[in-house]
Amino acid sequence: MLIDKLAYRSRLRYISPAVKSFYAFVCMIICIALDCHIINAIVFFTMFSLIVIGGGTKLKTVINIFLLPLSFIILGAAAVCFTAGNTSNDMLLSIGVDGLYLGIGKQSFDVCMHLITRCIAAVSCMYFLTLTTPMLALFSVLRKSIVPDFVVEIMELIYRYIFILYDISNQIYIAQSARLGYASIKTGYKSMGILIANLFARAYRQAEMSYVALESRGYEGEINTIDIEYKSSKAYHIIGVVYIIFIGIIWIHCR
Amino acid sequence: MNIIETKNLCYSYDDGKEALNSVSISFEKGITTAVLGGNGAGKSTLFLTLNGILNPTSGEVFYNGEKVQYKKAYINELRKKIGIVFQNPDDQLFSASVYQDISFGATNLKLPKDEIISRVDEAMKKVGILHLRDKPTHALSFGQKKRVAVAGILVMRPEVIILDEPTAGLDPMGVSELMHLLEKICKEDGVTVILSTHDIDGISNYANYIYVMNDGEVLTHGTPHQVFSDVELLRSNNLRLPRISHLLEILSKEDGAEVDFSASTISAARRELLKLLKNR
Ligand SMILES: Nc1ncnc2c1ncn2[C@@H]1O[C@H](COP(=O)(O)OP(=O)(O)O)[C@@H](O)[C@H]1O
Ligand SMILES: [Mg+2]
Repeated sequence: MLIDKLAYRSRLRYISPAVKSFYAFVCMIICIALDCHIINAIVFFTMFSLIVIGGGTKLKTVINIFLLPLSFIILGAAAVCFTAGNTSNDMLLSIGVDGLYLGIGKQSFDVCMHLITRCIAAVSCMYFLTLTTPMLALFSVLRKSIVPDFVVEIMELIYRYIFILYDISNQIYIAQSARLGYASIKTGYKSMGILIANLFARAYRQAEMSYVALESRGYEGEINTIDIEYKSSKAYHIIGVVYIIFIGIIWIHCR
Repeated sequence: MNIIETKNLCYSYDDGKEALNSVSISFEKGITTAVLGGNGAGKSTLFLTLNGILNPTSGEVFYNGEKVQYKKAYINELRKKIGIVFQNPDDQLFSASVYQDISFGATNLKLPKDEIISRVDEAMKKVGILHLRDKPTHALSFGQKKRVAVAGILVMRPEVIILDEPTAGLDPMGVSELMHLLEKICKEDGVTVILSTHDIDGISNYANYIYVMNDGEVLTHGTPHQVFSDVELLRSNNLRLPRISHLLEILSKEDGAEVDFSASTISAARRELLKLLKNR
């Protein structure tokens, strides 16, 4: 939800979501497919500066958001680093026990580094999309894609009602804690149970009321609305294509 | 002419609670009629029977003199003419996008796209929410949500717009802005406005005609002046006079001043007081 809020404040939010998602995905696929450190670094810095400089999102916030998956990536990649073997020749660091060597292999270290840069670059592409594009805009892209309309419809409704139910659960939680409902672990469990039960009841009532309201506005089984139009400009495509060509040239030189 | 009329309308909820008891009401075309009543008086239930969401246990509803049939096709047509703004805007706003939510009703009328777009723009302009166009629904304040809900009904260009407690939960500025808006819709577009309220003090400012309900029954009805003349009836049913009328009543009964205490708006009370000053 925080990420969605940031997206609404981003300066890049008015750019056509279709354009943004297209190039974000293309860049992500390039990073994964080419697996070249330099290209990974270039893509990462492009995306990062697009978010911070282009979108105007606070640097500190962006760094915090990037640190979130970084710990997973590093932990996951670290596991790949370690190998076991009969010699320590091709190992950077090793401990030998009875002729069996356990350590960080040269080759696996290389694999690990590739994994890390690739992951970070791919994540930065996705962050670029989510930090500059509100959910609503993404829905409009999904509607035009191959995803069936009713799936997008359900996603939209869920997205809307998450906020309503979140508000309700928050209200119940505050009302409970104001009367010491969470003062001890035991009462805490009990209160939480009551909260969940009530939330179900409220969700049911909400669904009933919403249905009544929809019906009175002429709902006949299908949710039809006007799609929001976004400005798409040739300039964005030119920039995107030039960027991809630029990456291509670098890749040829790197090989 | 009466655009909506009910005759001996009764409604009981599943649990046997009789929420409407032989209610006969006439809503005149082109004016603002308010239904005044405390919590549980049956206002919401009444409104839900008017556009066919609830099926009355007995009694009849007439639209433009024609008897309403509680059949799907008929009710669907009726709902195009009668728009309801619900009390809680979160019940009504289903879309996360303000713009898309407003367009919903118009899209259901199967209008051409250009027409829908221009209607949505017009409705947003009318209720003063053009700046909220790109906002997500959940980021709006309560008053803003209420306006979006009103706009979502206006796009359908109904003949009658029913608002269930439109002023509840709004701050004083919000109330006066909303009431101005409704006045404009009623006067300029000739839309019949029906609303429920328990705002005794404000009601005379915006209602041309008042029905007072209590415990599922119509207690009395008339112009604000007529309704607030019968103090005893109101008091015996847990209602009261508007504050300003109460002041005039005290002046009249305790201090022997000759004022008509059914004056229930500031300007009417002012007239009474000026008369009093001149006669001294
Ligand atoms: N869904 C329901 N089920 C059972 N009783 C209801 C329901 N809704 C309202 N009532 C009862 O019907 C009566 C009228 O309610 P309502 O029309 O909501 O009043 P108002 O809108 O004037 O506050 C109340 O006594 C209320 O308790
Ligand atoms: Mg009500």
